[in-house]
Amino acid sequence: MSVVIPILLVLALLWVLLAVVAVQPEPSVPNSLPHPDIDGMMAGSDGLARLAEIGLPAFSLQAATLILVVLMIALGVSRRYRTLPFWLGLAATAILFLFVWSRIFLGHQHFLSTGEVHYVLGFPAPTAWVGYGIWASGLALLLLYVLGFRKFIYTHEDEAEFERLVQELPDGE
Amino acid sequence: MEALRSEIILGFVAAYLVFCVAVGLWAMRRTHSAGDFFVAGRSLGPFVVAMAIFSSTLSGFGFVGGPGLVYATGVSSLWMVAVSAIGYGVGFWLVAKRIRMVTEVRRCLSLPDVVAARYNSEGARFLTALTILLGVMGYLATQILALALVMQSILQGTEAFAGVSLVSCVLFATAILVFYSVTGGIIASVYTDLVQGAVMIVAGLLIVIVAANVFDGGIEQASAIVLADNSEAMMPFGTAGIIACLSWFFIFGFGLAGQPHLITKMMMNKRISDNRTIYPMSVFGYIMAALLWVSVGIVMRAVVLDGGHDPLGAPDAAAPAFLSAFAHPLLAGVVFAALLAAIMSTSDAFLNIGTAAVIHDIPIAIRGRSLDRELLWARVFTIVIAAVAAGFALFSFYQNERLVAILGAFGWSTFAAAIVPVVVIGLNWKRGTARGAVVAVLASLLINFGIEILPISLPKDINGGFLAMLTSITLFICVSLLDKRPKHAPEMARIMKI
Repeated sequence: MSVVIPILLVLALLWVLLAVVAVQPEPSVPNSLPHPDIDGMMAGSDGLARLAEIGLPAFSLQAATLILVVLMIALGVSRRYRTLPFWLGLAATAILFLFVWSRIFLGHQHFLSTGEVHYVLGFPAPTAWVGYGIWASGLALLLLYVLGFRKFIYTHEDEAEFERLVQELPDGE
Repeated sequence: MEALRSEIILGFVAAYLVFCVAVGLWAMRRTHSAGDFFVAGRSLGPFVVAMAIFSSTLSGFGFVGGPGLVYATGVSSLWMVAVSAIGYGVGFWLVAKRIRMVTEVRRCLSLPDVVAARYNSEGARFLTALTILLGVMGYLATQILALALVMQSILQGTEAFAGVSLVSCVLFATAILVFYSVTGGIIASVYTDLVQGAVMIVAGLLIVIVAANVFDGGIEQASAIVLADNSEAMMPFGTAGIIACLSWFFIFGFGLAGQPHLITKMMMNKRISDNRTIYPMSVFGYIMAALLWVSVGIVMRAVVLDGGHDPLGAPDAAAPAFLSAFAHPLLAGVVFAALLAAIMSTSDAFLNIGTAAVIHDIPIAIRGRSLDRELLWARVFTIVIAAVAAGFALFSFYQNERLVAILGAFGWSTFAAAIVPVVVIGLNWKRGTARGAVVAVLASLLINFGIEILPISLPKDINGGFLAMLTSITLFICVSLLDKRPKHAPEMARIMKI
């Protein structure tokens, strides 16, 4: 099956989730307000109230987006190279993406309900997951590319085939 | 040394501008054809390409607007920065290999050339070129205005140039930019990018060290001050809220691979196998330079909340105020040079792709061939486009602020919505058709422009660019599937198989 079909299904899911977000009742508080004391700064309003209606659809929306990223990456690899090791590497990356996202979302929920704050490398833990966690999950994608470059991105056979193609051009280069 | 702060900063900036002029003169001797002017003869090494890709990504917005956003809205904009590693991933996994192959096999000089080769469609070429031209005018006008404002603030700090006008700064900034872009084309652009990128990495690293030492408790203390004042500002979605942050993740994550001034650089490397090293170097450079965005914004918000600094007149003053208050004059000089570098490295890339659209792509789409004496016209139109953009910048500043805002709407999200389906998906999916590509680009233009001009506001802070991109990708796939199966030229079919 072409990987475009699952991509289309995830796109349809994104449309549904976006519609669900759009039709939710407006939160009882505005999303943000001007800072009471300092011009030019904004202040976020009640975190629990502004997530009450859209929290779950928003969580699902981002999970679907992350799956779309992974499927798009698979689209970038020729079908004959989508082997078990490739899918395993990609699945591990997808799990990492979803793990990081769950740490961000659930960590924020935990803070909202308890007020407890733990700092990780300078930031409250859920915010640290945004900075360090998303960067790290992007680096997993990078590692897979670098390690798998000659296995499923641009093999030596691909290189030879491309060189043949260039040599066959009418006024060759 | 503190007494000479303004002069030291001016010295660093002047040295940097002299370097740009020298590179322009050096590159002029290596620019013999339109191929050299637009794609550097596909002869660049991996380090040069990597630095050019990341430095073109991080414009003046990253060095001024980014810290300003954090100051104003808390950590919301962290989502734009953090997703970059994934964004580069989408670009390298899906674009870098095939765009380089098509470029070599079909002798492409520009992104619309690649689109025309892929779809065998002059309509797709024309619309891609038109999108690029509209986007370039908006982006370039904002960059030139930012460049002039930064120069004015530097010069006004000195006794000799205290009364310098904005018009003079626009003229001077544009003249330097045009000089090296005209003489050396993309060769000058990428070699200035090399130094610009290095300066940005050094500045990013040094600023983080300074920012971490503003409070005795480091960045954690700054975070705690911001959190104590307003917890949501320091929590993962900042004051902008979850949907705005997730919209940015989508637009900046997928959209990075749709920025023409970046993926054009992927057409220029000497060997396709170099992508294996270009990708990590680009990501590393971006992350290092982007550290400035986050650290300066949080520290300035904390310092103001803590009463250590007067409230800023405007959020965009966060980075300059930080440099004045906390950075050693030598470091301030490096960072101001880096700021100019960030703006100019993006501007020269826009000038190059905008010129290609005017003298190469649009003429081919309309009359079947590009302008005669392409290299000459490339140089002429580089000047013309820069002059028009400078005019827009001044007109916008003095007469109509909406003008650049409207043109700016044809910026990141329009590029992303138009080019991601057509190039990022299209180069990897044989079933994608020309009709699908045309519909996707038109949808991108209509939605982005419509939301900017018409009084439309989307519910729950859903970003217009997100909606445009989701629509264009969906339409591209659906229209292509409903269309007849496309027939590819033999060499394109072979490239799509590799």
